Amino acid sequence: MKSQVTLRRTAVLGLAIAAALPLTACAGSHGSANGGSQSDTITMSMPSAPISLNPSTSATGLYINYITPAYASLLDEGQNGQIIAGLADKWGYVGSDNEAFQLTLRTGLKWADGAPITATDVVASLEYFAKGSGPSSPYLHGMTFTAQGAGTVVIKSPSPDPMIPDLLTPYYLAGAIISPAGLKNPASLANSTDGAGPYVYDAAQSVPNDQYVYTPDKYYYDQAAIHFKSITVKVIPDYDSALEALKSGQIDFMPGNLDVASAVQGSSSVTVLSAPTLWAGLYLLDRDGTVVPALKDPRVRQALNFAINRQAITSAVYGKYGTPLSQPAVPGTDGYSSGAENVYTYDPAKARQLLAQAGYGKGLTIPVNYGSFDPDNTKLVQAVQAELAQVGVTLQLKADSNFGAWVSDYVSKKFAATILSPGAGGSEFFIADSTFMPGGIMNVFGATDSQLTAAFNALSAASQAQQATAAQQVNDVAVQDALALPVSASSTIVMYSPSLHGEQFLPGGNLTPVTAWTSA
Amino acid sequence: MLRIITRRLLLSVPLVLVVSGITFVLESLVPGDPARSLLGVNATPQQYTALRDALHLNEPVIQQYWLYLENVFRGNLGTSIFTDQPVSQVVTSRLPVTLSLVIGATVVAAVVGTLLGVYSATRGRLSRRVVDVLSLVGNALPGFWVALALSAIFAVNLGWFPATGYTSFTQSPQAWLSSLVLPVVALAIGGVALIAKVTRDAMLATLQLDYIRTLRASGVSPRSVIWRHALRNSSLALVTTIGLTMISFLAGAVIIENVFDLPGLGNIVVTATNEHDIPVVQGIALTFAVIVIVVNLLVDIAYGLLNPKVRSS
Repeated sequence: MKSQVTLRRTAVLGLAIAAALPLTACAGSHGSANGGSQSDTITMSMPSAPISLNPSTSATGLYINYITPAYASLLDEGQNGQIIAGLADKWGYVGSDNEAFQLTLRTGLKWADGAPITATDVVASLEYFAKGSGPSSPYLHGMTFTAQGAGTVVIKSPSPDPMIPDLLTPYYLAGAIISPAGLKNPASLANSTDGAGPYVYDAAQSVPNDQYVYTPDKYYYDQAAIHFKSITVKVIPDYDSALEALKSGQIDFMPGNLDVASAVQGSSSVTVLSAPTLWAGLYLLDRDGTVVPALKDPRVRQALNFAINRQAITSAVYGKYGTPLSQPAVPGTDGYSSGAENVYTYDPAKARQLLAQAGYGKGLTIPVNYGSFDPDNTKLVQAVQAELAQVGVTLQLKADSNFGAWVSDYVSKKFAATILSPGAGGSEFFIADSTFMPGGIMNVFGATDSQLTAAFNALSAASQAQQATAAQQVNDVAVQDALALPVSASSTIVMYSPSLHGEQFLPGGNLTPVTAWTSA
Repeated sequence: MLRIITRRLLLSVPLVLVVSGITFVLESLVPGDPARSLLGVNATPQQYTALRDALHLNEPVIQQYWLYLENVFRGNLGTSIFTDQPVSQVVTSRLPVTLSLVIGATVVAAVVGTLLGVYSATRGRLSRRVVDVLSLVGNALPGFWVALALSAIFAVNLGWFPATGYTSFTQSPQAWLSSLVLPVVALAIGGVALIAKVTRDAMLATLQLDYIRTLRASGVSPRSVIWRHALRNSSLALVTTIGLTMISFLAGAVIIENVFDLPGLGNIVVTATNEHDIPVVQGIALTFAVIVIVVNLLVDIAYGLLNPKVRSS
């Protein structure tokens, strides 16, 4: 009996010691790991690290939050989608053909190292972007950049381009100018910054692939616009983990998805903001019939559009964060038209009829690659595969487990269609230029459509007042000729602490960057 | 003993080479292309070819591996393809995090598991059944789920610990400890179950031996019989299990570091593998191989300390 009592005491003591040690860490530990969230700092999470801190190769969308703290842009976008001043406070097209654009820098601007910013510096940066392979580079190809005097830059496009000012905003990054010191050693831009933004990258406090810390730049021209003592962007790949961190106050902002947004429905401690920003669906790449001759026939492409139940797929994949979409333009953008939504109603019988008329009544097979690293697109493509199978069209799916594999398969020209993760949005000019025009980055086969080319040329040369009409005409051609297979307008979802302000989806679908937010 | 250690160290060289070679080949088979990831869809064929040449990706795998080995023997583990950070820096900055997690989990699992095992071996059948059930549950629970559950309860609801993140010991010992509690517990749970069961089984076998009966008959205290004699003689199996558990925790650390966003080697190896950041993957594989060698060496030394026959052989 005595031995049992002694043994029990020993065991309990041992367990108590093992358990007691962590309890000493409890007091005052909440939110202390990595600084937590204070009113004069902001911590946000992103699901993956940037490929590079170099703005010329950085991804856009929410990933600009790795760039915009350290790199201010030449121009910016206002609340109503209008172009507003950035580092340049005067800008405009010269002449009426949308080929020459001029901007003038504010006076007294300085780089983060204190050196003055000149027009020559801006030209060098734009030329560097134009030679690169980043998202904005294709739009700058062929352009020439000239410095006139100390503060004026003239940009000349080889063909009419009404979107030059948009390229120079934070959302396309071409205007996120890089200093001469950075351009002297471009390799260093992968993990350091050389810009003129309100903050500078603090390598001492940062850990690549884990957290990126930015502290105020004393040379920034508008010190009142610096709202935080530091900005920290943490890489938290798992959305559930990020949500736990948001709910416990460790972070202030996170991108969301359907699952985590649904989990906090009705919560007063987390604000959920969403807007339709991207069209999701299949890019019908092989419109000239190289791999799948059937896709050259518009009737086949139209049949695909009639064959899918967009309402059902959208509801299953995106829930309340998606809208059925029959056109490659998102509601709220200049190309979108409500009339285009009535062109392709769900009609499998009509789809079969069109396929039979085109000579494919017995069906056809279309090889498609997609990124399985994107769970929404994985569900989407599988749903579309099931629906098309009902009309005799077989999608032969190839899952790419990472972005590099997806790019390799995309450029191989072995796949007649693909899904871009997470989707595409923005103005009709950019959509058409990148997706349907020969040379577009999402037109790997270089397919052509004479009607679309004519409409695009008209859009390129249109005046500001005619832009909206011209944009809708481009979209109408894309819909009538079934140049793509849109399924849904998916929403970008963000979640943040109610004490944070300034987050807003602009008319083009871009979310204001972290540098524009404030904390109560 | 010295002979054992020397033999182990000599055998570790071909072992590290084998691990390194297998990792290199497997990584080369993973779909994807780091040049494509870096350049995106906009790259011209010339840009793509130039980058692949610069990264030696156009050379045969054997040649790439030989080049890698040449650099390693010169003390150069290479640089990350994506961040340009020296791999040695990636490893040294993240190793303390992973070691804190793995060693912490091993200590917790060893202490708690041993106590539970001894307790159930010296109690009745009911306690043994309880330990069996706990072992089953501990092994069956997915580490990912356990981690999220702990985070939801103790970090979000109770606010006792941070949900994510890591503070280094030099920054704040208290915050360091706090940031490790939940990850260590999540990682240790499966190990506790296994160690408890092994301890229990070894103790039961030892307690049946004649010399234990003799000790009891000689008037040796029960506490001394259990802790000084029986446990010591059961410890060979226990030491082996603890060593294997610690090695398995290296794999578990990959999941736990991702859930709790700890900036350790497990966290970066997932990203590096998906991105084809071959130098980083190789550096981490080598580091893990060295850790496994060290753990096995420590187990052998412990054997020698616990068993005089091993020392004198």
